[in-house]
Amino acid sequence: MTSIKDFLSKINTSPVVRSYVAMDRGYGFPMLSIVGDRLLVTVFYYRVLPRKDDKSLIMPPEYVLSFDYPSCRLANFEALRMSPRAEGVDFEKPVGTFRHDAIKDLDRAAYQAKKDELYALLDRLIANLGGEGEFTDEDERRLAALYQLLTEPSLHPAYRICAPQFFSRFIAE
Amino acid sequence: MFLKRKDFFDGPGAGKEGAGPERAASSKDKPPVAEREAGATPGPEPAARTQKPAAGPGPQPQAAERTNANGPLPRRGATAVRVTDRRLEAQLDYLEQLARASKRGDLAGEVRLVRAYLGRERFTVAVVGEFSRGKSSLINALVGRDIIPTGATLTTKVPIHVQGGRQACIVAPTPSGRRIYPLDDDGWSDLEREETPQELAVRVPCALLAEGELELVDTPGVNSQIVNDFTFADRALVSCDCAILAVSAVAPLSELERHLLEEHLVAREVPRVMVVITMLDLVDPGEREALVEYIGSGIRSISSSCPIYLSEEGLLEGWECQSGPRAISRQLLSWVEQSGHRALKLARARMEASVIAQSLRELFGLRLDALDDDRAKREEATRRAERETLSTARIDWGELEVEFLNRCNQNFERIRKLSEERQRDLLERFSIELSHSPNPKDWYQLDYPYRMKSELVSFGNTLESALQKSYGKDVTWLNRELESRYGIKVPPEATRIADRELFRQSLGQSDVRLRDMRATRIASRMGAGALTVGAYAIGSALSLGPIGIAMSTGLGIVSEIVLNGTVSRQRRALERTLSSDVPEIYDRCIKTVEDAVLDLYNKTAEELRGTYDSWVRARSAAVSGPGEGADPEGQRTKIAKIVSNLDAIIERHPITKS
Ligand SMILES: Nc1nc2c(ncn2[C@@H]2O[C@H](COP(=O)(O)OP(=O)(O)OP(=O)(O)O)[C@@H](O)[C@H]2O)c(=O)[nH]1
Ligand SMILES: [Mg+2]
Repeated sequence: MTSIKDFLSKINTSPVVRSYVAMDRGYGFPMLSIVGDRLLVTVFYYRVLPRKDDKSLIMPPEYVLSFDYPSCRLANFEALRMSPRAEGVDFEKPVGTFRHDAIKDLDRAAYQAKKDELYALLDRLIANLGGEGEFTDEDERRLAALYQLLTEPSLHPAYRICAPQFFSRFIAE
Repeated sequence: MFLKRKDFFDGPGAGKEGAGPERAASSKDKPPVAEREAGATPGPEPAARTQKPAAGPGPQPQAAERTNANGPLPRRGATAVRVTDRRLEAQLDYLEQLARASKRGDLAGEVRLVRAYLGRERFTVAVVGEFSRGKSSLINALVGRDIIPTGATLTTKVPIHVQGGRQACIVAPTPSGRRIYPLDDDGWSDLEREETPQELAVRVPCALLAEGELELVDTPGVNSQIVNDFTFADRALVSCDCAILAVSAVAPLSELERHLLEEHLVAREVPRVMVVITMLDLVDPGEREALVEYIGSGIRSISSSCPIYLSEEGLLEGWECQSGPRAISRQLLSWVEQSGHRALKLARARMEASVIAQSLRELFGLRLDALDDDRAKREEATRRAERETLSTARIDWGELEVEFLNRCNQNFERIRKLSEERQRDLLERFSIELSHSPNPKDWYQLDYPYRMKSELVSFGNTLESALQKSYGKDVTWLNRELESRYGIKVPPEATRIADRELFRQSLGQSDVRLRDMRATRIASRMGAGALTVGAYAIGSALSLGPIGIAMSTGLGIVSEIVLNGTVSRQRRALERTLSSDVPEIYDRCIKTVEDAVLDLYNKTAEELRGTYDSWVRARSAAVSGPGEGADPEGQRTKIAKIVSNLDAIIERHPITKS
């Protein structure tokens, strides 16, 4: 099975992302959605302007891409700058700063460890969706806790719009 | 199939807070960010612009530049390309005066550009082409230094004038003067953050630029703009001495590139035109010769004298003298030196003057027609007024309506014919590309949607302007009939053809689909991004109307099995698919457009019926002929004179003083 980490690195080096997403954009945490009989992984890309002391500026997400799992085929592409859904958004205006309070006290290694744990749980969820292995209620609670801890609150509206069901199950407080 | 638990998100236990929040969330499907801005504190202001020492209006480069580019550089006699010509100047004055009198500021502006062009001493080379064709890379190679950012996505957003200078820097005009940035990555990113100028200058020490008093102008890709596909290119072209069309070997010679070469370079008599083939290194060595020959023959069919160069050395045997930046520079310098340049420049300026004269001619010609028509119609109206009864009037109005709708159908016939011609061309080109592509499957999945898109965008533009023109004409016709017979008009009455917005406004409710064509154009700016990715993405994510619909239904019906077959099998299968795909796409596109246009004509006809009713009610006030002008004959003579003067300029003969 393709781990979500490999999956992400595969899509991020794919011609699609290379050619159509501007180079310096970072991406948010992946979200899952189910469309018909396909499992889609949705990611959005946005810019962070680095500043010292947890004051890096988070800019509004600009692209939303969904990929079919595990084939990595592009299933949807939306350039928010052009999308009616994002009418009125000032893309030159920061939406928040990185890092948010909840993770201020984590050092680099601890942050990475949480992230790895999230990805590992996500792998188990995906496996389970594919009919393999277990994904218990406890797992689900833990995964939700990690999403809630790690995702930037200022980006929550974006997460919600990209995958409403996933958002309400794993990210919404 | 990977997925086994399709019901994960809707099964029991889905959503901790039940279905409520989900529904609430999706019903609030609104801008991710605008929404939070309302409640949350706005993010901190971007950091002050202090880090970069050179980001301020640095006095040094400016001072250096004053003694250099603006100061008296040693000049060679042969490079003087300033041109003076009394007759032409008189014509330009005349045109400007007419343009002003007719409130056509745009035309007056063009006259000024032509004047500036004649007066310029530098030899200006504009590099034009579609986006991501390696224009900026080519300029960097010619200058011998990476001065302009290049990249896989849209990079060049405004024209950049590259000029010789002692000190390297970027000069950005600002509302209050100008601002100098260092010529490096930091400089570019500071600039991007701080300014949004209409154009930029880059100064760089460079033998080529200094020697020939040469200026290179990098332009944004022609199909990357919002307002008008050719705005930037045209502006650069009006004032250039030479144009380089960059054509990528990977997407050779599109419809748009042919159009650019034919209509904007050759027909507009840009004095020197060169085609540079870029990215040939990406083509399989065995295929290069045939490809270059293919591009060459396409170009020769448009212009027999346009030399072709390859952007890199050592790619193709037999092309040594026409490969690489050094060979290109040599050619440019030899053009600068050639004494015939003055004459070419003059011919070019006359050409531009004649184009401006044509626009004015159209304007005054219409006025003249209207006067003539009026005279004939006036006589008729008086006769009619005697015998006309309400019933004959009814027939008359009915006929007008039928005739008007008939005109609409004639327009459709015209665009159908146009579409057929273009389809044929396109299929031919696709089939050549397909046979040259080492990987037909990739071509079909990646290049084809993109190519199809740009063809349709360009086709959409052609259709739109053709239909807009005809509609304008038809309404003008209708109104002229109505006005002379009954002294009334049907809105929309003002149908100046040049006013593109008007067409859309007059479409009212039904303009959505045509407006979508504009959205497509906006999309093509993002580009690459929004539209290239594949049929389903285009249709669903952007909902682009005719083009989007056509693309999403037309594509993606080749089965995976075929696509994984041998290369020749792929080619055969794809050829077959294309020959049914392309007509269908065009067909859908046209049908959608036709619906919208027919709607528009019907609306106008409805207006006509409404107007008739009110006319009947007001009929008791007798039929009155149109008001006599103060001195129609004198006015007619004056306008006729202007028209004949304009004709002289168009023919490029001397004008006689009026
Ligand atoms: N392999 C190869 N790549 C090239 C060549 N020329 C340009 N490129 C690459 O193609 C991409 C686009 O090149 P640019 O020079 O930015 O193209 P451009 O025409 O200026 O593009 P816009 O400014 O966006 O209109 C860049 O990634 C270049 O590195 C070439 O001859 N060979
Ligand atoms: Mg460029």
